[in-house]
Amino acid sequence: MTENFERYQRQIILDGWGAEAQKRLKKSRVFIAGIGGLGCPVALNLTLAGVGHITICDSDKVDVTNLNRQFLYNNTCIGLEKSPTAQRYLQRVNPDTQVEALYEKIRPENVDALVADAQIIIDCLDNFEARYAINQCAIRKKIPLVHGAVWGMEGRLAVFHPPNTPCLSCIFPEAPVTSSTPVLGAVTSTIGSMQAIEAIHFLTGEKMALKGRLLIMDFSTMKFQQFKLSKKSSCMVCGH
Amino acid sequence: MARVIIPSPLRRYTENRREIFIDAPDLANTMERLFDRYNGLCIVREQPALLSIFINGQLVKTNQDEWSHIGLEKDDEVSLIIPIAGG
Repeated sequence: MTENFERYQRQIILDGWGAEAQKRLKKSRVFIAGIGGLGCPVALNLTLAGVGHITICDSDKVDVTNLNRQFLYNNTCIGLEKSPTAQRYLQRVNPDTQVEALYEKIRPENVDALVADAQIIIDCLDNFEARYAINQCAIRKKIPLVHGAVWGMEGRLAVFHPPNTPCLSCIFPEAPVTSSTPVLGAVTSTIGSMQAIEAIHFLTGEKMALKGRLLIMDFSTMKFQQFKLSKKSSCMVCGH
Repeated sequence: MARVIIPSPLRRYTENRREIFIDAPDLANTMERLFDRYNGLCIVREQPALLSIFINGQLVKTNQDEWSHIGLEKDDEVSLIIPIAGG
Protein backbone atom coordinates (compact mmCIF):
# COMPACT_ATOMS: atom_id res chain seq x y z
CA MET A 1 0.00 0.00 0.00
CA THR A 2 1.36 3.43 -0.89
CA GLU A 3 1.29 5.81 2.03
CA ASN A 4 -0.12 9.25 1.42
CA PHE A 5 1.67 11.70 3.63
CA GLU A 6 0.38 14.85 1.93
CA ARG A 7 -1.44 16.09 5.02
CA TYR A 8 1.87 15.94 6.91
CA GLN A 9 3.88 17.79 4.26
CA ARG A 10 4.51 20.85 6.47
CA GLN A 11 6.10 18.76 9.21
CA ILE A 12 7.95 16.44 6.84
CA ILE A 13 9.93 19.49 5.68
CA LEU A 14 11.13 20.12 9.25
CA ASP A 15 14.91 19.86 9.60
CA GLY A 16 15.89 16.24 10.25
CA TRP A 17 12.36 14.97 9.73
CA GLY A 18 11.52 13.67 6.23
CA ALA A 19 9.26 10.80 5.21
CA GLU A 20 11.25 8.40 7.43
CA ALA A 21 10.22 10.22 10.61
CA GLN A 22 6.64 10.28 9.41
CA LYS A 23 6.72 6.54 8.80
CA ARG A 24 8.05 6.00 12.32
CA LEU A 25 5.17 8.02 13.72
CA LYS A 26 2.71 6.02 11.66
CA LYS A 27 4.05 2.79 13.22
CA SER A 28 4.02 4.22 16.74
CA ARG A 29 1.84 3.21 19.67
CA VAL A 30 1.21 5.64 22.53
CA PHE A 31 -0.64 5.28 25.83
CA ILE A 32 -2.22 8.46 27.20
CA ALA A 33 -3.14 8.10 30.88
CA GLY A 34 -5.99 10.55 31.50
CA ILE A 35 -7.91 12.49 28.87
CA GLY A 36 -8.59 15.67 30.83
CA GLY A 37 -6.82 19.03 30.85
CA LEU A 38 -3.45 17.64 29.78
CA GLY A 39 -4.72 14.59 27.91
CA CYS A 40 -6.82 16.65 25.46
CA PRO A 41 -3.89 18.64 24.00
CA VAL A 42 -1.60 15.61 24.06
CA ALA A 43 -4.10 13.44 22.20
CA LEU A 44 -5.03 16.13 19.69
CA ASN A 45 -1.42 16.98 18.84
CA LEU A 46 -0.38 13.35 18.48
CA THR A 47 -3.43 12.67 16.30
CA LEU A 48 -2.70 15.70 14.11
CA ALA A 49 0.94 14.60 13.82
CA GLY A 50 -0.07 11.19 12.50
CA VAL A 51 0.82 8.80 15.32
CA GLY A 52 -0.43 5.40 14.20
CA HIS A 53 -2.14 4.13 17.35
CA ILE A 54 -3.19 6.04 20.44
CA THR A 55 -4.81 4.50 23.51
CA ILE A 56 -6.66 6.96 25.73
CA CYS A 57 -7.61 5.76 29.19
CA ASP A 58 -9.81 7.54 31.71
CA SER A 59 -12.56 6.50 34.13
CA ASP A 60 -14.25 9.91 34.35
CA LYS A 61 -17.34 11.35 32.76
CA VAL A 62 -17.50 14.87 31.35
CA ASP A 63 -18.47 17.47 33.94
CA VAL A 64 -19.42 21.07 33.26
CA THR A 65 -16.39 22.24 35.28
CA ASN A 66 -14.10 20.50 32.75
CA LEU A 67 -15.17 22.74 29.91
CA ASN A 68 -12.80 25.66 30.64
CA ARG A 69 -9.89 23.53 29.43
CA GLN A 70 -10.89 20.12 28.07
CA PHE A 71 -11.55 21.20 24.53
CA LEU A 72 -12.42 17.78 23.09
CA TYR A 73 -15.78 18.12 24.89
CA ASN A 74 -18.64 20.60 24.83
CA ASN A 75 -21.96 21.15 26.60
CA THR A 76 -23.62 18.27 24.76
CA CYS A 77 -21.02 15.86 26.19
CA ILE A 78 -21.81 16.45 29.87
CA GLY A 79 -22.35 13.11 31.59
CA LEU A 80 -20.74 11.09 28.80
CA GLU A 81 -17.69 8.90 29.33
CA LYS A 82 -14.64 10.95 28.43
CA SER A 83 -12.53 8.38 26.58
CA PRO A 84 -15.07 7.25 23.93
CA THR A 85 -16.24 10.85 23.52
CA ALA A 86 -12.68 12.01 22.88
CA GLN A 87 -12.12 9.02 20.60
CA ARG A 88 -15.01 10.08 18.33
CA TYR A 89 -13.62 13.64 18.10
CA LEU A 90 -10.07 12.51 17.38
CA GLN A 91 -11.14 10.02 14.69
CA ARG A 92 -12.87 12.84 12.85
CA VAL A 93 -9.74 14.98 13.10
CA ASN A 94 -7.50 12.34 11.54
CA PRO A 95 -8.89 9.03 10.30
CA ASP A 96 -5.29 7.82 9.72
CA THR A 97 -4.79 7.49 13.47
CA GLN A 98 -6.33 4.53 15.26
CA VAL A 99 -7.69 5.75 18.58
CA GLU A 100 -8.57 3.14 21.18
CA ALA A 101 -10.73 4.26 24.11
CA LEU A 102 -10.51 2.60 27.52
CA TYR A 103 -13.05 3.57 30.16
CA GLU A 104 -11.01 2.18 33.05
CA LYS A 105 -9.51 3.32 36.31
CA ILE A 106 -5.75 2.78 36.25
CA ARG A 107 -4.64 0.52 39.11
CA PRO A 108 -1.43 -1.38 39.89
CA GLU A 109 -3.15 -4.67 39.06
CA ASN A 110 -4.48 -3.68 35.61
CA VAL A 111 -1.95 -1.13 34.37
CA ASP A 112 0.31 -3.54 32.46
CA ALA A 113 -2.63 -4.90 30.47
CA LEU A 114 -3.99 -1.41 29.76
CA VAL A 115 -0.66 -0.08 28.51
CA ALA A 116 -0.15 -3.29 26.49
CA ASP A 117 2.47 -2.79 23.77
CA ALA A 118 2.66 1.01 23.82
CA GLN A 119 6.15 2.42 23.28
CA ILE A 120 5.67 5.39 25.59
CA ILE A 121 3.32 6.49 28.38
CA ILE A 122 2.12 10.07 28.66
CA ASP A 123 1.13 10.96 32.23
CA CYS A 124 -1.87 13.28 32.07
CA LEU A 125 -3.40 12.12 35.35
CA ASP A 126 -4.79 14.11 38.26
CA ASN A 127 -3.84 11.84 41.15
CA PHE A 128 -0.67 10.22 42.43
CA GLU A 129 -2.10 6.76 43.07
CA ALA A 130 -2.49 6.22 39.33
CA ARG A 131 0.72 8.16 38.58
CA TYR A 132 2.67 5.71 40.75
CA ALA A 133 1.02 2.77 38.95
CA ILE A 134 2.08 4.01 35.49
CA ASN A 135 5.55 4.85 36.80
CA GLN A 136 6.04 1.25 37.90
CA CYS A 137 4.59 -0.03 34.64
CA ALA A 138 6.97 2.14 32.60
CA ILE A 139 9.92 0.75 34.59
CA ARG A 140 8.78 -2.86 34.08
CA LYS A 141 8.27 -2.35 30.37
CA LYS A 142 11.46 -0.23 30.02
CA ILE A 143 9.59 2.54 28.24
CA PRO A 144 9.71 6.31 28.88
CA LEU A 145 7.16 8.18 30.95
CA VAL A 146 6.42 11.78 29.99
CA HIS A 147 5.15 13.42 33.18
CA GLY A 148 3.02 16.56 33.17
CA ALA A 149 1.31 18.34 36.06
CA VAL A 150 -0.34 21.68 36.73
CA TRP A 151 -1.36 23.74 39.73
CA GLY A 152 -2.78 27.17 39.12
CA MET A 153 -0.41 29.11 36.87
CA GLU A 154 2.41 26.61 37.36
CA GLY A 155 3.09 23.77 34.97
CA ARG A 156 5.63 20.97 35.12
CA LEU A 157 7.17 18.62 32.63
CA ALA A 158 9.70 15.80 33.06
CA VAL A 159 10.77 12.65 31.24
CA PHE A 160 11.59 9.56 33.27
CA HIS A 161 13.27 6.56 31.67
CA PRO A 162 15.13 4.43 34.23
CA PRO A 163 17.78 3.12 34.54
CA ASN A 164 19.28 6.10 32.73
CA THR A 165 17.19 8.59 34.69
CA PRO A 166 15.49 8.66 38.07
CA CYS A 167 11.86 7.57 38.22
CA LEU A 168 8.85 9.57 39.37
CA SER A 169 9.09 8.09 42.88
CA CYS A 170 12.75 9.14 43.23
CA ILE A 171 11.64 12.76 42.98
CA PHE A 172 8.17 12.58 44.52
CA PRO A 173 8.15 9.63 46.95
CA GLU A 174 5.05 10.84 48.74
CA ALA A 175 1.73 11.85 47.23
CA PRO A 176 0.26 15.26 47.97
CA VAL A 177 -3.20 15.56 49.44
CA THR A 178 -5.72 15.40 46.61
CA SER A 179 -7.81 18.55 46.40
CA SER A 180 -9.64 20.58 43.80
CA THR A 181 -6.84 22.13 41.74
CA PRO A 182 -7.07 25.67 40.37
CA VAL A 183 -6.30 25.55 36.66
CA LEU A 184 -6.40 27.66 33.52
CA GLY A 185 -7.00 26.11 30.10
CA ALA A 186 -4.10 27.97 28.50
CA VAL A 187 -1.71 26.40 31.04
CA THR A 188 -2.89 22.82 30.51
CA SER A 189 -2.89 23.35 26.73
CA THR A 190 0.71 24.54 26.84
CA ILE A 191 1.99 21.76 29.08
CA GLY A 192 0.06 19.08 27.18
CA SER A 193 1.42 20.35 23.86
CA MET A 194 4.96 20.20 25.26
CA GLN A 195 4.37 16.64 26.44
CA ALA A 196 3.28 15.79 22.89
CA ILE A 197 6.47 17.35 21.50
CA GLU A 198 8.66 15.24 23.80
CA ALA A 199 6.73 12.12 22.77
CA ILE A 200 7.16 12.99 19.09
CA HIS A 201 10.92 13.46 19.64
CA PHE A 202 11.10 9.94 21.07
CA LEU A 203 8.87 8.31 18.47
CA THR A 204 10.78 9.84 15.56
CA GLY A 205 14.12 8.77 17.01
CA GLU A 206 15.21 12.17 18.30
CA LYS A 207 16.59 12.90 21.76
CA MET A 208 14.07 13.99 24.37
CA ALA A 209 15.30 17.32 25.75
CA LEU A 210 13.85 16.77 29.20
CA LYS A 211 15.08 13.23 29.81
CA GLY A 212 16.12 13.20 33.47
CA ARG A 213 15.16 16.86 33.85
CA LEU A 214 12.27 18.72 35.41
CA LEU A 215 11.02 21.90 33.77
CA ILE A 216 8.92 24.18 35.94
CA MET A 217 7.04 26.95 34.20
CA ASP A 218 5.54 29.75 36.24
CA PHE A 219 3.08 31.38 33.90
CA SER A 220 2.24 34.11 36.43
CA THR A 221 5.74 35.57 35.85
CA MET A 222 6.74 33.69 32.66
CA LYS A 223 9.82 32.45 34.52
CA PHE A 224 10.93 28.98 33.49
CA GLN A 225 13.43 26.88 35.44
CA GLN A 226 15.03 23.57 34.53
CA PHE A 227 16.39 21.13 37.11
CA LYS A 228 18.69 18.16 36.59
CA LEU A 229 17.23 15.21 38.46
CA SER A 230 19.21 12.60 40.36
CA LYS A 231 18.46 8.96 40.97
CA LYS A 232 17.74 8.07 44.55
CA SER A 233 19.59 4.90 45.52
CA SER A 234 17.09 4.30 48.30
CA CYS A 235 14.09 4.66 45.96
CA MET A 236 11.59 1.93 46.82
CA VAL A 237 10.57 1.62 43.16
CA CYS A 238 13.70 1.82 40.99
CA GLY A 239 16.53 1.86 43.56
CA HIS A 240 18.89 -1.08 43.93
CA MET B 1 21.41 36.90 50.58
CA ALA B 2 19.81 33.77 49.14
CA ARG B 3 16.69 33.92 47.03
CA VAL B 4 14.13 31.27 47.95
CA ILE B 5 11.63 30.34 45.23
CA ILE B 6 8.24 29.29 46.57
CA PRO B 7 6.15 26.85 44.47
CA SER B 8 2.64 27.98 43.50
CA PRO B 9 0.72 25.72 45.93
CA LEU B 10 2.64 27.18 48.90
CA ARG B 11 2.28 30.85 48.00
CA ARG B 12 -0.95 31.03 49.95
CA TYR B 13 1.33 30.88 53.00
CA THR B 14 3.75 33.59 51.78
CA GLU B 15 1.29 36.39 51.00
CA ASN B 16 1.46 35.20 47.38
CA ARG B 17 5.19 35.96 47.16
CA ARG B 18 7.14 33.89 44.64
CA GLU B 19 10.58 34.97 45.81
CA ILE B 20 11.75 35.57 49.37
CA PHE B 21 15.20 36.93 50.18
CA ILE B 22 16.83 35.56 53.31
CA ASP B 23 20.23 36.37 54.74
CA ALA B 24 21.58 33.25 56.43
CA PRO B 25 24.86 31.31 56.30
CA ASP B 26 23.42 27.91 55.51
CA LEU B 27 20.31 26.05 54.41
CA ALA B 28 19.23 25.15 57.96
CA ASN B 29 19.17 28.78 59.07
CA THR B 30 17.55 29.88 55.83
CA MET B 31 14.72 27.41 56.26
CA GLU B 32 14.31 28.23 59.94
CA ARG B 33 13.96 31.93 59.17
CA LEU B 34 11.55 31.14 56.38
CA PHE B 35 9.37 29.03 58.68
CA ASP B 36 9.52 31.76 61.36
CA ARG B 37 8.42 34.41 58.91
CA TYR B 38 5.71 32.33 57.26
CA ASN B 39 4.30 29.89 59.80
CA GLY B 40 2.02 28.16 57.27
CA LEU B 41 5.08 26.76 55.48
CA CYS B 42 5.67 24.49 58.46
CA ILE B 43 3.45 21.94 56.71
CA VAL B 44 6.47 20.96 54.62
CA ARG B 45 8.56 20.52 57.77
CA GLU B 46 5.88 18.19 59.11
CA GLN B 47 5.88 16.17 55.86
CA PRO B 48 9.54 16.23 54.81
CA ALA B 49 9.11 13.56 52.13
CA LEU B 50 6.98 16.03 50.15
CA LEU B 51 9.79 18.56 49.85
CA SER B 52 12.67 18.58 47.38
CA ILE B 53 15.22 21.37 47.56
CA PHE B 54 17.37 22.49 44.66
CA ILE B 55 20.19 25.02 45.01
CA ASN B 56 21.11 26.70 41.75
CA GLY B 57 19.31 23.93 39.86
CA GLN B 58 21.04 21.05 41.67
CA LEU B 59 19.15 18.71 43.99
CA VAL B 60 20.45 18.73 47.56
CA LYS B 61 19.85 16.30 50.39
CA THR B 62 16.42 16.81 51.82
CA ASN B 63 17.31 15.20 55.14
CA GLN B 64 16.89 18.10 57.55
CA ASP B 65 19.82 16.93 59.70
CA GLU B 66 22.13 17.76 56.80
CA TRP B 67 20.84 21.26 56.10
CA SER B 68 23.31 22.91 58.44
CA HIS B 69 26.18 21.47 56.38
CA ILE B 70 24.94 23.15 53.21
CA GLY B 71 26.42 26.63 53.08
CA LEU B 72 24.78 29.35 51.03
CA GLU B 73 26.49 32.13 49.10
CA LYS B 74 25.19 35.52 48.14
CA ASP B 75 22.88 35.22 45.09
CA ASP B 76 22.29 31.49 45.57
CA GLU B 77 18.86 30.42 44.41
CA VAL B 78 17.03 27.94 46.64
CA SER B 79 14.03 26.33 44.92
CA LEU B 80 11.49 24.48 47.01
CA ILE B 81 9.56 21.85 45.07
CA ILE B 82 6.58 19.81 46.22
CA PRO B 83 4.52 17.40 44.11
CA ILE B 84 1.43 18.73 42.35
CA ALA B 85 -1.31 16.41 41.21
CA GLY B 86 -3.34 18.44 38.74
CA GLY B 87 -3.75 17.26 35.20
